Amino acid sequence: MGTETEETTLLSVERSKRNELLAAVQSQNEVSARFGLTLSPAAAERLLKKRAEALMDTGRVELSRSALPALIDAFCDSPYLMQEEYEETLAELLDAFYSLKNESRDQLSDDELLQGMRAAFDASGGSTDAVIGMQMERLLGVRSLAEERGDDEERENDE
Amino acid sequence: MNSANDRRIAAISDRVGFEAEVMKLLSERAERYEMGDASSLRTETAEALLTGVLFCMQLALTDAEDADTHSASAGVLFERGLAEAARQVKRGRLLLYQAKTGRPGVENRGLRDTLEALSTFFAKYDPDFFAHRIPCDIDYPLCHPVSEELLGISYINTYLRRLIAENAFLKKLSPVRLRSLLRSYLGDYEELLVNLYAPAAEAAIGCALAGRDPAGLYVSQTEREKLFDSLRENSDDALACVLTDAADSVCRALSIGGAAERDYLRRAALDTIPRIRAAADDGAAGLFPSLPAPV
Repeated sequence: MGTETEETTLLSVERSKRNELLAAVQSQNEVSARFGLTLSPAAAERLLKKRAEALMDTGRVELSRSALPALIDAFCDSPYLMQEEYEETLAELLDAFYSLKNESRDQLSDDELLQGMRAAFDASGGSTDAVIGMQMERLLGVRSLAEERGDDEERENDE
Repeated sequence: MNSANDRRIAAISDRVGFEAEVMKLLSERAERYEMGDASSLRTETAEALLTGVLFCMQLALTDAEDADTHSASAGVLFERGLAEAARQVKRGRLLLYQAKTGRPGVENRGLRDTLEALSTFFAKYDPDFFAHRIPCDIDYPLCHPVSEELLGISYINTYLRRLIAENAFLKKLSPVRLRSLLRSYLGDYEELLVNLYAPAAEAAIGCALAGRDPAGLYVSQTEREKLFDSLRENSDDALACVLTDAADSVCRALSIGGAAERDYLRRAALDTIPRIRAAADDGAAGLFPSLPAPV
């Protein structure tokens, strides 16, 4: 493995994946703009760079898709997000997302984790420190809550 | 893996776009592993998934001669490898059954625990995602250890085949004599993590070399010394011939007809050559063990 042609092919695959992600992040502007939040192309580029660093620091990889568009989607309607700090807050939330994934030993799905993070963010008036400091019991509580809700719905359906 | 297989694998992995194909396949496997719930996974999990994918592809390529296999996509090779792993798992279950029913008439904790652990292997083995893994502890040491380069079911089946060959030999011996030999040579052999085959095989070969009945597992001290003196006078090639002949004569005496068992015993005989050479200065201690002299 590892001929020059091969490297070119791999680089072009990497580049195309990166461009896809960039487009996905920028397309989130259509939704977030309704809440007064947008990312400039340069800000989106910087965010992608920080995402790569965060993945490296937490020892994780994203192979087919990224959590970033889902994270923007989950937080963009929070009343505690301000345009001036939008890019920086997203970067911090992304850091928190990957570390909490590790801390939860991958027991939580992306959706469950994002739901828990958003709850902690709003409850603390928009503090990313509060999200980073979330206790695992609380995080896993999100899952039990969701499961209970699921059970209740099932019971209702049965009745 | 033999060199033909290595060449086959090298030819395919040098194919233009192969790495990109593998990365795409890995993404799909990761997505399936996470059941679509997660976008990221730990690096070590991704690496393990990749090793599993590559191992399956290697299984598909092993001994494959058809041109179609050589031009197949990474995805097709992976699927063929999965099917091959499934076939080998079926074969492995039969081998385990054979190993359990063919246990020798002597007890050993390591052997007992390993046979139990091998059952766990078949319960926990996950070829879909981690075909290269061996999810159990294999403690019992073989006379000829399996190469650590073999992975997953390939390692397990090779281990089982060797264990069966060892047990088939041990079953040809009288349990009373075998226990006595192991006790005098190894001490508490039932509790120690030791191989039972090697001392018995060497003892039988020693008997054959001394012109005694291999099943007796006994040579006198004088015979051992004489034997040792005559062996070390040989060149390595001549010694190899003498030892191989002795192994064959043990097989004849014990009615061991299987080629695998015979080759295994020949290897055990040849393994004594460096020890015969090394023991030239400090006597024959430890070589060709024997039952204690009858009182």
